[in-house]
Order: sequence, then C-alpha cells, then structure tokens
Amino acid sequence: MFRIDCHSHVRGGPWDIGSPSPKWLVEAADRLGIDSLCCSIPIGGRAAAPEEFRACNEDLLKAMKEYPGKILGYCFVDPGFQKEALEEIEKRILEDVMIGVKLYNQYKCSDPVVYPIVRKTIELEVPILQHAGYLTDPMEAAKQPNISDARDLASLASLFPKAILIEAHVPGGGDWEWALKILRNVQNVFVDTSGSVIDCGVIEKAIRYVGENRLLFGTDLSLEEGVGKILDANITEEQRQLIFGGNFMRILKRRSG
Amino acid sequence: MIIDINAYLGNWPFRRLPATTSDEVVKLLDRAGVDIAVVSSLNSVLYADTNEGNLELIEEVRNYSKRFIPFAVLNPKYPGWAEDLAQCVESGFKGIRLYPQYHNYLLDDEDCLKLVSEASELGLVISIPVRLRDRRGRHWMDSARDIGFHEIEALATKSPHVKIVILESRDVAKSSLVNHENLYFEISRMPSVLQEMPELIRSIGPSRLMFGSGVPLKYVTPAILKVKHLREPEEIKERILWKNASDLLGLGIQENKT
Repeated sequence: MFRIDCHSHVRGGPWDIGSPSPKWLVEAADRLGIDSLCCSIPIGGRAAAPEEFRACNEDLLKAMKEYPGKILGYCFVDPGFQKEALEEIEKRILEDVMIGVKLYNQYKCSDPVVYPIVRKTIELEVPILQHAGYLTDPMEAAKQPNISDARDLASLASLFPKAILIEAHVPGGGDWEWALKILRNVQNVFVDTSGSVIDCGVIEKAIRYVGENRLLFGTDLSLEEGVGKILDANITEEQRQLIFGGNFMRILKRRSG
Repeated sequence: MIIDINAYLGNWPFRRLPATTSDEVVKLLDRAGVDIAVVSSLNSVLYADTNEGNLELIEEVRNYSKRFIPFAVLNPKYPGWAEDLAQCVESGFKGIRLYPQYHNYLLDDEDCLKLVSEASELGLVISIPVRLRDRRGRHWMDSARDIGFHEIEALATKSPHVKIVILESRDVAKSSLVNHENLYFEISRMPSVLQEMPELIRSIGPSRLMFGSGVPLKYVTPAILKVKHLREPEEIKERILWKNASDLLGLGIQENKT
C-alpha cells in the first residue's frame, strides 16, 4: 500500500521550528513505511520577504535532489509580494518540478491578495496546501490572527471551483468537527489528516462527512500519529488505500497529464 | 503482552466517542492487541461527586476482571473523599486518577497532598493526566488548563515516596521532572522515530516509561507504533509495553504470553 505524506517539513530557511534534516526525516519515514514525503519550508507569523521564501525553496530543492522521488516539494511564498511570488511559483513548478504551493498564515486564504496565486495554480494544475485551523481557545487563536479556517477555504473554493485546495492538518489542533461540517459539500477542498491530534473516530467521521475520496494522509512531522490514525480507523482497506496514497496520486496526475 | 496504563470508560460530554462501554472498549483493545487496560470513569471527571462514577465503573468492569484494572477518580476538595477512598480500596480499585484542572485545585494543595499520601499508604498507584484533549480545539465550556511541569514537580518534591504516573506527558526529556525518581511517564504523546522517547531512555533508562494510549478518547495504534519502531532491544520494549506497569501495579505477571 503506497503511502504519500501530503504534509511534511524539512530543516531549512530562516525560520527554525525544529524540523528534521532530510536524512533524519527520510530514515524516520522509512521505519513507518512512508514512501514519499511532500515537504515545504515555510515561514510563519510574519511577512516572508522574497529573498527569504526563495531561500526556503532553495533549501527544499537541495533536499529533493538528495532524495529524488522520496522528498517532493511544495513551493512556499508570501502572497503579499505578488510579482515575486508568481515568478517563484512558475520557476519552482516548471523548472524544479515542485508539486504544489504552500501558503502559511501571512494572510487568510479568503483575502483577495491570494487570488492571483490561486489563478496561477489553476493554470499549472497544482494544489495549494493551506495552513489552517479553527482555534477555539482564545489564547491559541491570538497567536495566529491570520490563520485560515474551513470557512476561508470554502469561500475560496466557491470563487475558484477549478482550484485544488488542501486544508492542512484538519485534526491538527483546532475543532475538526467544525471544519468537517463546513467542508461537507465543498468538492474542491481536500482534507489533510495530519497533525498530533488522534481523537478516536476522527477518520471515520471525516469519511462520513467529506467521503474517502477527499481525504489525504499526512503527518506534519507527527509521524506515528499520522500513520497510526489511518491504520487504526475502522474503515475498509480500499478506503485506507485511497487515503494513504490513491487520492494524492490522482492530484499529482492532473499536472503530469 | 501489552498493558495500557491510560484508558477510560464512560462518556465525554464534549464529543461523541466511538466506544463508551466495557464491551465496546474491549473491542478496540482486541483490535489493537492490548491485553489489559487501566481504566477510570470519564463520567467522574465532570460529576460533582466523582465517586458516583467510580460506582458505575466497578459495575461496568465486573465481567472483565482479566481485562480491566479499575482506577478511581477522587476530588480532594469535595467532602467525603477519605470515606470514598476506603470504599474504593474495598471494591478493588488499584489506583486513583486526579484531575486538578477540572476540579479546580493545584497538585500541591494541602488536601491533595493528604489524599495522595493516604492513597499511597493503602497501596494505590497515583496517576495524573496532563490533559484530556488538545486545548486548541476545546469546547467553549471546557476551559481546563494543561497541568504544568512546575505543578507536577511540586507534588513530586512534597511526596517523594509516592509513585506517580504522569499520563499524556510530552517534552519531559529535557525537563527537571526526570530527576524525580518517583515519577513515571506514559508515552502516547512522545515522538519516537523523531527522538523524544529514545532521548528519554538514554537519560533515565526504560524503567519509568509506560505504554498508554488514551483509548477511547484517542486511537491506540499510534502509541503501539511508538514502541514498535524504537531502535532498542526487545527487552526494553517489553518493559515499556507491560513489565513496568505490571511491576508498579503488583500484577505478578512473569512472562510474555506471546
């Protein structure tokens, strides 16, 4: 059963959040039977200047070259620097074969500043992995005033029905039941299952609400949690295969034709 | 053999759980290969009189005496805990769980220290969950804090002869908690292939680590993967999976049945 982690990170760039080196990550992933890791190197909590997001993507490219086929890359940009962000996306997707775009919490994704980025991803037929969470604890929410939630993704999805949007780590700390109810009928938003939260029943309920065809296995570096919640869920083997890799393969094939 | 030191029966008021009864939780344990689970009442966490949940629990586990080890939930700030404690020992409870974050006291509160001391003298194991859910997605009525290291350290210092299992612990490897030999740590939230658990084993050895899952609040398999994929000798994995808990609880299990 092929396992593609749709949400991972490697060390690099100016924002050190303790991500592992490529070698360490790949060794850890091998132990858990993860075949490919879709990584990004984002910057969070502040604007990321063009030279900074370029440096992040350059470090990621080195990791991709060190582990071809094992580490795949999302190009990270700050949509506030529109011209440079669009140039960076085009270069990284077309020349460096990155597989998508990563957006963090510089802007809510429903902000019009993000629209040109979305148009570019539609043109290139690649997904956007959007950092998100519905943080119900006021202290936690205050730390990320511009974090997107399922409402923002649903709003963006309705404006751009051809966009391939992934809501990052739905069970990653926020109220995942709230997110699933919002995304129930939003067909072009995929749900990334990564994150440290392993509430028993989350995968089964996610299938009930958005269906097995819109769930993507991910870890966000919570490796045992990411793999374990899919293995433990009371679902069919066919559903497990779709979540572990089948659905993401479908997304990757859109670009490769 | 696997002993889960961190399991529950009952309802959680803020979310529907896939298993609440002993029959249902046993099915989850069977699926994951867990042989014995230490359980307490989830109902007790929010009952004013926690002992009512203990009474429910002892009935619920009656038909599963080989699968469940009951722990009582007691609140040292509520009248009658000393009588409840005595009754719990008589009913067969092997330990207690404390929820200072839900019962509104600090772990080094004088009444708490007294309860911990008396329970320990009666041969009970003390366990304390750092949390029951991730605060980031909490229900608006559930404002319980995560228990801080300073609070645990205060209790460990003031009760040096009492053995205390910290459930849902994380980031302890570099903390001063490791210096308290009366503290044991449940592993369900510790990264394993990305390091915390190996680091903790190097720092304090394997004798104070215990397998736990948080079932049915949490899935069981992630915790199993954490032990399975450790690059440690089988003997160390066995200690974590069941031997340490067996020793602490005085179960007298000698050999791995498998």
